[in-house]
Amino acid sequence: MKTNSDKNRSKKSYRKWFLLLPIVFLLCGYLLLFACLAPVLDPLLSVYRLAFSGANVETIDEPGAGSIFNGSTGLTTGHLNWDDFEFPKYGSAFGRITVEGTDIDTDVIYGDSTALLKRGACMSLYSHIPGCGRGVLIGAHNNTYFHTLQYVKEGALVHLDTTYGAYTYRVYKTAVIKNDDGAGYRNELNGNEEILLLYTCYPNDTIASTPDRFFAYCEFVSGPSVNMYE
Amino acid sequence: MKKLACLMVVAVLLVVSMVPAFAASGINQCEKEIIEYVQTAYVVDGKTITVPAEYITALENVFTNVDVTEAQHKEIQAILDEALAFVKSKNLQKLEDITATGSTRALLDYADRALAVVGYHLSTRGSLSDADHGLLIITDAAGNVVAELHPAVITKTGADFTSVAFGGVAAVAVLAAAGIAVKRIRKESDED
Repeated sequence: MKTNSDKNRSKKSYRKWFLLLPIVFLLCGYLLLFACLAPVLDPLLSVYRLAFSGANVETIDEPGAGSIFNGSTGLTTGHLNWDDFEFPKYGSAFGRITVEGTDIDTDVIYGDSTALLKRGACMSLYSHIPGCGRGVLIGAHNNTYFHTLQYVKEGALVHLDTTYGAYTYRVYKTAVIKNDDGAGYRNELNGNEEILLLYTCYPNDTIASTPDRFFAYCEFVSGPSVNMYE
Repeated sequence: MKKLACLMVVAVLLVVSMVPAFAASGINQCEKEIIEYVQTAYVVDGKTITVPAEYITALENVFTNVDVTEAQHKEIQAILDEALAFVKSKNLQKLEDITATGSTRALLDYADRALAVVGYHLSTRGSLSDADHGLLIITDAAGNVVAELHPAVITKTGADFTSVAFGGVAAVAVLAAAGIAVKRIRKESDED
């Protein structure tokens, strides 16, 4: 049988939890809301800034304003020898890519590890840099940088500005293939023609891991050629 | 490709070429010879076991950031010869042969030795038999990452799970707090 002091202690403990629990749930709830809403908070904040900060057309950030890419030479023709330019270093933002008919406008990083994929579109070390007359393989996450890649149409132009030249490609085919289906990309990647392969996981609204990849195959239009051999 | 070259052999050959980055350049004669070695040196029963073209591309890319000297080439070549002799002695012809014969560690050691010639270090993350998550990491003397290579050519580009994982942790925290609280309150009620 409980004594009065036991009952008082129990009541005190109950009151303590009565105060603590709402606070804990409130904090956890906010944490949860923040995590879930983080992807849409930026656009909302932009609207807020636009409405209340006195911003105008001149002060709105252009797409790509946050880029860490240092800019292109703008060279669109000609020939670059190995000693005419600096080859990209692993992890460096050596280019910027835009794709017509999509919202894609992002830095291109040299290398494609999990960490680098958080920073932009990533060029695989298993492919050549633009201008070598070989396959160029660039991938990015389907919920961020390449979210709208699957909406690209055949004929759309792809602009890839690099630290050594400005390249243009044209989409000639799109396809959804399995990630282990080498036949879906190996000929283009390893052939003797300059083909830009853009890819991302498909579809773009999936959260779970998917074996499907959306590929946009792009033919070379213009840009300086590059010689890697001395 | 029936005669698929051993990934680890390629890794050894790739890794030995990752020499100091202070002399970025094109692909010189020494580097051309190493590329040729990778493409033609491994012959079994009169047939050359060549590597997939994308691995040669990776090798070319690495060579654009380095400049192998003649002296380094000779030293590296000696280690490559040792590695090749080991591969032949184990009769490694397919990827599966490496794990089946327990040769992974030995091949990685050859690679690390070759890297040490130029002050680099090789490490791995995860299992290299896991194409998506396995990772070969090359670091320089200062610990800077020089290159990272997944076995898979096509990487995982699904949703970036950072925010999802964050939300998941928060959800678990809420549930755990709720569970503990309910249990405690019920216990106290029962005692009353």
